[in-house]
Amino acid sequence: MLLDFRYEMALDFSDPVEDQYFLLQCIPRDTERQKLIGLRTDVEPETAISMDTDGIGNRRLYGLIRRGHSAFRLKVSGQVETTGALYEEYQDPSDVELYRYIVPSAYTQPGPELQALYSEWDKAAPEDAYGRLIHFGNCAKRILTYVPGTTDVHTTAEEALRLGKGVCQDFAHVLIALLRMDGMPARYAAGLMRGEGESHAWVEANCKGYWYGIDPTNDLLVDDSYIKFTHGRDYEDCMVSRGIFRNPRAVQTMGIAVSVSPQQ
Amino acid sequence: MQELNKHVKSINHLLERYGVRFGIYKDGMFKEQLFPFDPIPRVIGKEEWDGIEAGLIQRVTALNMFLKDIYGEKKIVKDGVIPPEFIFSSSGYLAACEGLKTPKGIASHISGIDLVQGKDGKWYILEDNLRIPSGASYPLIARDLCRTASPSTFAHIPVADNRNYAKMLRDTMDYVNTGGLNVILTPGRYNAAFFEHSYLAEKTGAVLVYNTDLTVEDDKVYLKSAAGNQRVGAVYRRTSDEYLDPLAFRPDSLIGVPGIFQAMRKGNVAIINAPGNGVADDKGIYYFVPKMVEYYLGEECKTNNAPTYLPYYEEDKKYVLEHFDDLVIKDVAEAGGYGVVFGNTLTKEKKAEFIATIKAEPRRFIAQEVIDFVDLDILDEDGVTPTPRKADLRAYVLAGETVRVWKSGLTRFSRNPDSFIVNSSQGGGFKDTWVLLR
Repeated sequence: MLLDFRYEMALDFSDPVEDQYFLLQCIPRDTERQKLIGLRTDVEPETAISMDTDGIGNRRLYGLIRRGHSAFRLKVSGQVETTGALYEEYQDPSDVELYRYIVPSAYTQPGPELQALYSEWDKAAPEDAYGRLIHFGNCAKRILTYVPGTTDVHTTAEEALRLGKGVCQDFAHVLIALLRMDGMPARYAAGLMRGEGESHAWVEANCKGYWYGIDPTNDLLVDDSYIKFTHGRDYEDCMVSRGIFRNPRAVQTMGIAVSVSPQQ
Repeated sequence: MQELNKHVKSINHLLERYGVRFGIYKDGMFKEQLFPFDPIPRVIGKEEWDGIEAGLIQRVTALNMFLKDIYGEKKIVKDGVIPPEFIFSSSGYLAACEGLKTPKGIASHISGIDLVQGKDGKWYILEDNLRIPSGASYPLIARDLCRTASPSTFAHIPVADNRNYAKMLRDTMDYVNTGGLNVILTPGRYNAAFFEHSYLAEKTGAVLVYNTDLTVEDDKVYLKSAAGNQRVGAVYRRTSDEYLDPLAFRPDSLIGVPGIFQAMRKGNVAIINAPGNGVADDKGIYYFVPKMVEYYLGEECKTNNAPTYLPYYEEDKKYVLEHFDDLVIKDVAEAGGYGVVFGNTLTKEKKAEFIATIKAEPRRFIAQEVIDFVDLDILDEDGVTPTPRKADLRAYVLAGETVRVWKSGLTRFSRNPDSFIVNSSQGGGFKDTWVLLR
């Protein structure tokens, strides 16, 4: 399926700022399931945009606006061809790099709540690896309620579980923690889903070498309606936007708009 | 040598006036305290030093090869020498550094290696510090003051001149410099080692800068100045990795230089020491350093580790639980003398609690035999009586065109006669270290 996508960021400052540095990880990766076909970036105030790929293959764009300004607009749009492939890529189960996604990370370090949840769900888990992935994948939605605003970007899986609420980031962290406790390499994926609204996050797990995408927030398998920007150990590796500016008095208001639609 | 004892008051007074002190954060408060100088030097004979030196050069060479390997091919892991968990769960491993190529392939330019001498006469490595080891300025300035106070002492004893530290540091900066100025980046006035930053800048001719003095454009680093921006080729930064660049590490850092990490990735600046070195001086990785030496250099390791056990391995865990009271247990995530527990000092309840934690998180701890290290005399408060205290030695190893060990070092002693912990953040003092030329 050929998908048009759009990621728009609007920053408004209460007082003009200078030396604004921005770095965004909102460019789709190429995988077995998706290929980036076209890309366009527009930025206001006008400035040069650099692009690069980090050490784990995530793409990003970055730039700098020196002169004073009170508003910043960035629009990234393009086309992605998604296929019917059920997995993202193959990575041999003996690859030591997989341990990156087995050891706990800052957001997924299990505490008593996660341990208890794991033991409980482990009892009814089937034998085979793929079956276990689906089994644990169902778990987050039964345990957590989707309530925006109750957690923030610093909330860990353990904390979200204690609250019993969260957003896609928290659902993903909880599932990652469970899968890693089960010994399955699991990573965080950030990107977009067909429709309009906000950016999305889900999970990928390595099952007998194949990286499968699973969306614990919607209790769905990732298909050709998803566009992946980045993957990493947890939210920290996949933060969509980072930035800093000069002017301690200025207060920033941020608006994000995204959309994904099949090309007409 | 006794001559110096007479001058201890005036030397400490001068150190105080120069602002030679260190600051620590404790209970959320910033406190600065003097770092008392003891006039009786640690003296190391030539032959003994030659042995230490050869071992340290070998060790730091291997550690640099390890860092290059870990952020690249990871051959040492693929070949089964180090289990992958130890790399990926290390808090010092930075994913952002994957694929990073450092100028001239050097990651640890300035290594502070902590050693102690056992009562058996052998030297043992306690810790490798490959991030931002501090303290070189203390013996440097103390020696300077001692020379002034008692010139005759140094005329009669063949002590290696330690004033070449600035030259060695400068050589290292120049060697990796990608074109432009050398700067020393300080996190600021309230950093524990601010005195040292300004002192080393003065001695090496590098520019002392705060983060706001630097700016990054087109992936190049510049020093801002009224006369126009000047290109920077080497940054000896004293800001820790996590605060170095808000675009690469902690996004909330206000003491970082946005874009500096990307400039380094593009090969446009050398960052001294390179980010990500924490994976090599991790207490859990320490155990594997002798194996690293054998793996990368094909040589037998010349330095001795303190006998160390990893509860991660079943066999070691069993040993640790059986000999708990004889061991010192260290939390791999902690530094500066924090998170160090002597098995025999715990109450019964605390001990049971601790053992449960080890069982639950074996990867978090290492256990070591307590080395009975030699005491060094310090001058008592009366200024006359020598009193024995535990002391260690931090040796400084600089990697540039070649790897060199500074013929001096920081000898730290514990103020408390019963304490084995000599970190300056735990309230000790320091001595000069004399390396004899013959």
